Amino acid sequence: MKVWTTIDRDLKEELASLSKDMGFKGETDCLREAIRLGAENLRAQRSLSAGLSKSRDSILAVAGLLAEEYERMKPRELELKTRARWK
Amino acid sequence: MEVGCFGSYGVVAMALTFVDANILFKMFAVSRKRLEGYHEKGTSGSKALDHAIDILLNLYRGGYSTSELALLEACGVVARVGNIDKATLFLRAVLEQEGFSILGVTALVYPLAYAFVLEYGIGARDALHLGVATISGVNRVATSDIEFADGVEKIGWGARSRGIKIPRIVEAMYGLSGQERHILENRATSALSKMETERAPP
Repeated sequence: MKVWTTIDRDLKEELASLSKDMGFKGETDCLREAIRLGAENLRAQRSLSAGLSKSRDSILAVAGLLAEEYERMKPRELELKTRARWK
Repeated sequence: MEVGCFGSYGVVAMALTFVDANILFKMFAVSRKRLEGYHEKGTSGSKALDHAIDILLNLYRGGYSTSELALLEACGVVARVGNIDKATLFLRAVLEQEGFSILGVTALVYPLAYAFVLEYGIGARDALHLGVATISGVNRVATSDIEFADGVEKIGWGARSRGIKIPRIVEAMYGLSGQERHILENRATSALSKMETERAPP
């Protein structure tokens, strides 16, 4: 498998150690599980923003959107407001 | 951009920073005037906004993330202190920003979040945020929330000293097999042992 021959030595050593510690039959099984878990994360990320076009400075394009609201807040008020609904 | 470590063959492992809801909000509180001040004098006049600007100007390069949960949290604050139109604009701008990853709350986050609550006594919100960061390969948490930063450091210390353990009741609750629990514990221990906190000015 090409990916197996091109990954760096530290990662190979870590995979060997993980395979042994976690009871996989071999490093390939361990790598397969790592890829499966990694793919789950990537799929989740893709599903969150699929269909939206990306731009380099979309946040900067609306700079100051919340400037007035922020200027009105006291120190740490934002942190308290963010937590408030979880209490 | 932060650079993690150099592998044996010069491979660069890119760092991934988790940006919390408060910093996310502050990135939108940077006015043109504040930005000009930052460029001309090196400061916008606010340490909290300077920190947000530093991130803002580097976002497109990659290496920054937030979660759908933190985004929802921030949207909720914007809707309450601003209005719904601003919250919608805020959400769209974050989703469209190049180089900014939105991390999902996947099923594996929940057993970890329960473990953080039951083993370390941290709040549900902080446990969920840290669970997402841990599962998603984040190695630095940027937050202006002292309680959250303290919680991350406490769990990081625990991971280094005794490892992350999923309580048996949580293992049973989610029907995890022994190997699944082992994988999750090892993954979390490895990620949290190296997790850094970036305490942003409030």
